Amino acid sequence: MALLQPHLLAIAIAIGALLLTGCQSTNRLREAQSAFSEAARTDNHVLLAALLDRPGSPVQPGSGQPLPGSAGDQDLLSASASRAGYAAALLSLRQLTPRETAQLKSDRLWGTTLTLRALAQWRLGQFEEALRTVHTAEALPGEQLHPRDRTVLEILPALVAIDHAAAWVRTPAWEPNRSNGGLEIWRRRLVSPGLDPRSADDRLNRVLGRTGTEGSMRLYLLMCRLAAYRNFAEIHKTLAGTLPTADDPARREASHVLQDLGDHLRQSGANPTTLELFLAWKNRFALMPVPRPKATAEE
Amino acid sequence: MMVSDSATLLLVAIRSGVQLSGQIRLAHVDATRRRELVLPLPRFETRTDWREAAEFFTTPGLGTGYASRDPYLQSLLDKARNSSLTREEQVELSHLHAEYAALKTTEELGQDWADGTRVDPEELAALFAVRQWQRRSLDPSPTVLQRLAGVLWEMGVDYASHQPDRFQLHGPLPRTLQAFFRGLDVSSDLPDPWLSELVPRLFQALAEHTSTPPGDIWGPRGPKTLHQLTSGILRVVARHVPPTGADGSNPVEDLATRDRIADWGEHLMRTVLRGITGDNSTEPSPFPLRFHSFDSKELPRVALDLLDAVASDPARLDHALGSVSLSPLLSAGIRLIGEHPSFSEEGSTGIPELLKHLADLLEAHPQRRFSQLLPELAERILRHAGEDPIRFWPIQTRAPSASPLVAITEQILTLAFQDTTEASSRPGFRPSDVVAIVDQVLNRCVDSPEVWLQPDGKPAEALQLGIRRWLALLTDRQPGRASPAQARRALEDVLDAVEGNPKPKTSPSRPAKTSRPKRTRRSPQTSKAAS
Repeated sequence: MALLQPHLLAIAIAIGALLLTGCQSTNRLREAQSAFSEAARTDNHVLLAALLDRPGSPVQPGSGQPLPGSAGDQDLLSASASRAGYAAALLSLRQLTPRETAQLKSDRLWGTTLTLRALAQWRLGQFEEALRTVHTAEALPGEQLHPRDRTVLEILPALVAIDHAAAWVRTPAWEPNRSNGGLEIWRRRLVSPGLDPRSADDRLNRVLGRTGTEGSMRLYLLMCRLAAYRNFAEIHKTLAGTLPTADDPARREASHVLQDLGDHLRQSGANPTTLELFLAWKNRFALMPVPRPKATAEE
Repeated sequence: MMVSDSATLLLVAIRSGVQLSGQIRLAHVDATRRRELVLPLPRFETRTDWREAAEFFTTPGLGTGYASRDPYLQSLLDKARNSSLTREEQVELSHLHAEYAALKTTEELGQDWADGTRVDPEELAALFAVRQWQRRSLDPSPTVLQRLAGVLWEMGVDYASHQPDRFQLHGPLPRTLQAFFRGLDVSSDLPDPWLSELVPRLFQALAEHTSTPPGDIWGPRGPKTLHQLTSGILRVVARHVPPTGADGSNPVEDLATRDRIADWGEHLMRTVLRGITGDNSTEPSPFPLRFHSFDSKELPRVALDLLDAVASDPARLDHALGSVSLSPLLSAGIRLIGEHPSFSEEGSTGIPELLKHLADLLEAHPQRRFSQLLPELAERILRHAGEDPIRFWPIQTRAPSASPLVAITEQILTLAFQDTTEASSRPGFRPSDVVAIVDQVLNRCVDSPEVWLQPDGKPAEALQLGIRRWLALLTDRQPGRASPAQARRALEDVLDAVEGNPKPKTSPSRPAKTSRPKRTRRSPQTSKAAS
């Protein structure tokens, strides 16, 4: 169809010229957002498939059958693809020129940019750099920081701690005679309430308290809290030989969080089959959901 | 083109473009700020071993019920309690746990063991896309409407000052513009190059069709319909925007795609507006389009379904649905959907599926030139289906092949127009003859469905017999080949004979009987009762 009229062409040229000069920095940020989101979607897919015990072809070199919940070959390939996505996002943000940086600041997108950079650094295992970026971003004036970005920056140290624990679980640096002390250190880092510095779970819980009862951020925070407990339980297995007992405060709190997750999924209007997420935590990790005592819940 | 091509107008356009681009850039920045971001979950251990297994089978409410019915499992649990499981037994217990945990999960979800309706991890992964502001109302950035309204209004005034006779500032116009601007409000989902491509085009189309003849042709539903149409076009386009940048896609291809989809968005807007204003001057068509004002609530629905079909299968439908074909298709679709008593507000009308089905059919047909018949055939099917929608456009399955008229069309194309050895002795049918012949048969089926259709809606044996008899007549004809017009007359006679109404022999010059008295159309209520 030849619908383009002469004056429309003029409009298009004018718009095109202006956009080329004005939107480069925004487009670079959008590219980074796209690459990051795509990588995160892949990572979440892999992790949730393993949580639901639905891996692809299993890999356990040297053993006949893998443990339930093991990743498959395909999943491992996806994981490496997602790393490339995070790296692309980070690279895109590192290539910002001073002029583009200034434009992002003037467009009040600098907080969003730094948050994305911190997230990408976290996912690439650059924990120290990620925490430094968080520190820089938190010092920005309020107009640069928007709600989701502020929340992400606040919980990022917790996410780093959870990932750190996951890495330890895979290759434990275990000293038998210090096992009890080691367990307490991990408890303080991951699940203890009311300490300074705050544990991962405590940090997540404080943010959760400020988050409304709806939305995907709440779901994300609940899943992160369960992840913190799950890694603690695994460290408990390694260092103490058993799962945390039913009267362990960390396990009791995790049971309440699981109940919250179930309630959230039921009330969010999502597809009922998403409840399988809650049931996987319950049945695979043998964690019973327990409603909070009424007084605590109201509080 | 209503606006004269003058230097002044060109300057107006450029100035408007510059102003618009500034606001669009800011809207783009706003959209980037509020853009969803998928947050990756932190890593946690997903593997379980015999310790989770033992916990599962010994915790009331989890797996104790299974353990009590399985003596072997009991023996493993006893050993676990005494920490005397061998390595193999640990693995065995762990795998029993995996199986029983999956069973428990399916039981608790209320599913059968093997029905396969479990959640897709990908679906779950998408739940972690987090917006900057949980609710749109909390977002302090101006909406796209607020960003663009001022500039667009100024553009409108500029156009009006140069074309005062086409652009009236009183009457329904302010309402119309307001509806249009509100429709633009969904455009924050649209990446910028698309936004700056489409918005001026849509506005231009609107500006050119706001001359209002006496009487309020926009009707009471007008603003709502225009709003639905504008927002719908942007939404459909947003749905089909291919990812760019990160995937390294070819920018030339992106530009071509963008142009094509933007062309269609604009074309749709123009066609609808032309239909509303009754302006057929720029589109000579055998089906002068005149919608019955904006009161048709089916109008945006059918129009957007057509756009969706083209955008989702541009390789085939973009070319096949040429610019002149949209008006009759829209008219036929609106009538069908408007007549159909069973259509709810949601869901597809089935029209995109019909177009794709016909594209498949014509693509597979040995006579490839028939691919150009798609819009006409679709229009005939929709038009005839509108005669008795319950019977001819069943919506339960949403499968176009469920429509008897589609099945009949398929049968005619297959039986009558295949390349066979006898084909050389038949008339040289042009595409328009093929459409006329299909139309002729569909007309019969609508008038006498009891003759041409089986009770289940499939074509009756009589149809096949009739077509074969007609083909035999054409092949046996001596001397020479019949003309297409003669062939159509012969078909009419054969169909009459099959229906049991043989005509007295008439002279060959008798004009072809191309239209038959229509049966009285059933009202929706009657149709519903009949169904």
